[in-house]
Amino acid sequence: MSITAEFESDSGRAPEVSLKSKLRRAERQRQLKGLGLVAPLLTFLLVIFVLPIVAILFFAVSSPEVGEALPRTAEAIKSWDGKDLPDEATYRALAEDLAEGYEAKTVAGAGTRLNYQASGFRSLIMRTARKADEMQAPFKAAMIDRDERWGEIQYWRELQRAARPLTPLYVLQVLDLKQDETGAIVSVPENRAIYLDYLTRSLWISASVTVLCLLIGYPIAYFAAHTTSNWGYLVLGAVLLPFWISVLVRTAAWMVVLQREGMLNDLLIGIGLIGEPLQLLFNRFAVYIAMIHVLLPFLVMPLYNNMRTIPQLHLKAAGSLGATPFWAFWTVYFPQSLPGLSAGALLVFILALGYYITPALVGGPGDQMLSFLVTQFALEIGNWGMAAAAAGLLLVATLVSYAVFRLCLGARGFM
Amino acid sequence: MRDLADTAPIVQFRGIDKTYDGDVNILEKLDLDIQQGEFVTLLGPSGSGKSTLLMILAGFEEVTGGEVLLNGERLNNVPPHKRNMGVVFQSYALFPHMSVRQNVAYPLKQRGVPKAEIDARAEKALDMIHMKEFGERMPTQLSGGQQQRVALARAIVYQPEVILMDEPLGALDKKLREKMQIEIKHLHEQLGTTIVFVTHDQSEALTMSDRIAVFNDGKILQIGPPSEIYEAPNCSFVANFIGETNNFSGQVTAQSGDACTLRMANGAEISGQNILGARVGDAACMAVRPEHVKLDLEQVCSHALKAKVTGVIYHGDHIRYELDVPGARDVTARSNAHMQDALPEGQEVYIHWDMDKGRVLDPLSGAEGAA
Ligand SMILES: Nc1ncnc2c1ncn2[C@@H]1O[C@H](COP(=O)(O)OP(=O)(O)OP(=O)(O)O)[C@@H](O)[C@H]1O
Ligand SMILES: [Mg+2]
Repeated sequence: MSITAEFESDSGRAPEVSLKSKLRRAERQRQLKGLGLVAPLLTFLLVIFVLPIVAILFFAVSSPEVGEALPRTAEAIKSWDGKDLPDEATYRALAEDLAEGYEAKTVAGAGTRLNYQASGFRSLIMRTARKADEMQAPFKAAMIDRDERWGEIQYWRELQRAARPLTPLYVLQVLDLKQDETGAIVSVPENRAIYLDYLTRSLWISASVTVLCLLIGYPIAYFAAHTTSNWGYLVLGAVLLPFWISVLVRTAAWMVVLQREGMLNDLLIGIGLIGEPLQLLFNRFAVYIAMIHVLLPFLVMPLYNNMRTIPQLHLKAAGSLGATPFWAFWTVYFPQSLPGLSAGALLVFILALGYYITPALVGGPGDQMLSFLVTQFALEIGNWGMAAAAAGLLLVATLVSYAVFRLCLGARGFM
Repeated sequence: MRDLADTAPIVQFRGIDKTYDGDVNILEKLDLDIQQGEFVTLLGPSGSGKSTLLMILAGFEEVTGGEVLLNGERLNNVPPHKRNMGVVFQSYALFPHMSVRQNVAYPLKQRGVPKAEIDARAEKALDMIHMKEFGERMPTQLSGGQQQRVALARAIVYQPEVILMDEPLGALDKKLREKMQIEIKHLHEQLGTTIVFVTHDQSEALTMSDRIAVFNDGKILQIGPPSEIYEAPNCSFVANFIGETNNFSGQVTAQSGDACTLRMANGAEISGQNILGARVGDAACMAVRPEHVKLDLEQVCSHALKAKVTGVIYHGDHIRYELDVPGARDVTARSNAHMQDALPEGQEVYIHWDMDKGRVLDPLSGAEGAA
C-alpha cells in the first residue's frame, strides 16, 4: 500500500520538474535570440548615445585646469596637511609655475577655475603672475610681500582642492551646496541659492503641463477614438497638424498671437472685454499655452491608439451589470485606458522637463527651466563644468521621474 | 415542458416599432409575451432584428413606438443599470483588467453587497460553472469556452429577473457549443430564471428552448414549442428555415375540409393538409420533411410521384437520397435503412407521404424558392 503511494507520488512529481526546467531552457533560448537580434542596435546606441553623454557628464567632475597650468605646485601641494602654511618649496614651485604660465598665457584659465571656488582668486593669480619672474628666494616672503593673501591659509586650501583632477564643486553648486574651507559640505547662503529653483520649477512646470495636457487631451482622444462621424479625424488632424511644423515656428506664432499688440489682445479689446491690453507674453501663462500646444500630440496619440482597442461594448456590459454610466466609465473604461494614458503622460512629462526653446522665447526670467541653465553655462559663460552638472541634474531628474512613473503604474501590470 | 399558461407574463412587448434611420422599420408592430421562468429563443436569419429586440429589453436601445413591460410596469425610460437584467454578449465582454473573480464580483459590488457576501456568492457562481480554480486568472488566459462560462457566471451571480443572451455560443466550435448548450440548460433548470436567448442556429433553438419565436424582417412569424415549430410550421419561411423541407409548388385544384389537392407545374397532383385555408385557384406550396418521404419501387397509391435517385449519401445513422422529381426541385428523402439495403443511383422509384405530413402553405417567395 505504502509502496504504491510512494510510487504514485514520485511519478506524479518527476515530469513536473523536468517540465519546469524545459520551460526555463526554452525561455533562456528565446531571450538569447532576442538579445542577438537587438545587439546591433544596442551597440549603435552605446556608441552614439551613451558614450557622448558619459563623456559630457565627466566634465561635471573633472578639474584639469590648475593641474595643467601649475603642474609643479599641484605636485608639491598634494601631500600638504593643510594645518600650517605650506613650506618654502611649495611657494617656490608656485612662483616658477606662475612665471612660466604667465609667459605661456596659461595662468588665466587656472585663475578662472580658482575663482569659481573663492572669489578674488583670479585677480590674485594674475597680479602675482605678472611679477613672478622677478621674485627671488625666499619665495614665501616674496609672495606674501607681493600680496598678503598668500599668507592666509584658506587660499592655499582652495588651491590644493582645485589642483586635484576631480572636483565635487560643480555638482554641489547646482544643488546649492558648497564645501567650506575645512572641506565639509554646507548649504550656500540663501541669497545665492538659485540653482535648485530651476530644478523645482522644471518639475513644477512639467507636472502642470502634463496634468493640463491630460485634462485637455483625454476628452479629445476619447471623442476621436469612439465617434462614428468624420469629426473624429478632423479633431485628430487639428491636434496632430502642429507636429509637422517646427517648434520654433509654432512658438514664434504664439508670440505673434500673445504680444501686447497681438491678435488676442486686439480681439479682447475689440469685443470690449478689456480696455487695456493684457500682458500675455513673457510670463508663465504663455509658457503653459505654448508648451501644451507643442506637447498635446504626444499625449493624444498613444491615448487614442489605446482607446481604439477598448470596446464600447464593455460600457454597455457594465451598465447591464448595474453600474451607473459614470461608474461604468471609471471602473471599466478608465483602467483600460491607463496604459496609453501613462505612456502619453510620461512622454509629455519627460519632454517638458528638458524644454528650452519655448520658455526661452515666450517666458519671463522667472519661467526658465534646467535646460536654460545648461545653455547659459555652456554657450554664454563658457563654464562647461557647471553646464555638465546642470545637464547631469536634468538627466537624473528624468530618470527618477521615469522610475516613479513605472513604480506607480508598472506595478499594476501596465507598461 | 412546464405549464406556464396561468402565470402572468414577466416581460411583455406591445406593438414595438423600431427604426434606426427613420426610413426602414427594423421591428414592426411586434408583440411578444414571455412567461416567468421560461426559456424563450429568438431565432431568425441575420439582420432580422433579434439583437435589436434584445437590446431594447436591456435598455441600450430606445423604441420608436410601443412599450416594454417588466412585471406589468413600463420600462421605456428606465436606464439599463436599473433594469436588473443579466446580459451575456456574443463577444463575452469580460473586463480584461480584472481577474475572473473580480469580473464575477463586479455586479455585486455595484449593488453595494457586503464584502463577505460578495466573496461567498462569487465563489458559488464560479462553482456552478465549474470554474472554481480559475478565479485568479485574467480573462485573456482563458479559452473561449471558459470565457463564456465566466460571462455566464457574471450574469447570474446577482440573480437578475431575466437573463438575456445574444448568440452567446456563436464563437465556439461545434463540440464545445453542444456542451455549453447543455450547461446553460442545466443552469436554467437550477435557477428557474427567465432566459431570452438569441441564436440563428436552429438546432440550438430546438434543443434548448421552451418556446421559439421565429423572426423574419422584424416580425415574429411563429411562436411555439420546438416540436410545434418543427412539425407544424405555419408558413413556408418557418418550414424552410427550421430543418430541411421539400417544397412542391403548384395551384390548388380541390379542397375539402382540412385537406386540399395541389397540381404541380408538370400536371402531377398531390394532396396534403390545408393549413392556411387556401382556396381553389390559389398558388400554394406544400412542405414535406425528408424523413416523411417514402420510397417504393412500385406505385402503391394514386398520389405517388415518379422519381429517380440521383445521389445516395451515407450519414451513419441514416441514408439521404437525392431525387430528381419532375415538377419539383431539390427533393431529398431520409431513410433509416442500412447501407447494404440502399437503393442504387439511377434507380427509378415512386415517392409518397402520409396525407397529414404534407402541409400546404403560402407560395414560396423568390429568395426562398432559390434556396
Ligand atoms: N446601430 C444601428 N444603426 C443602424 N442600423 C442598425 C443598427 N443596429 C442594427 N441595425 C440594422 O437593424 C437590422 C437588424 O439588426 P439586428 O442586429 O437586430 O439583427 P440580428 O437579427 O441580431 O442579426 P444577426 O443574427 O446577424 O445578429 C439590420 O438590418 C441592421 O443593419
Ligand atoms: Mg445579432
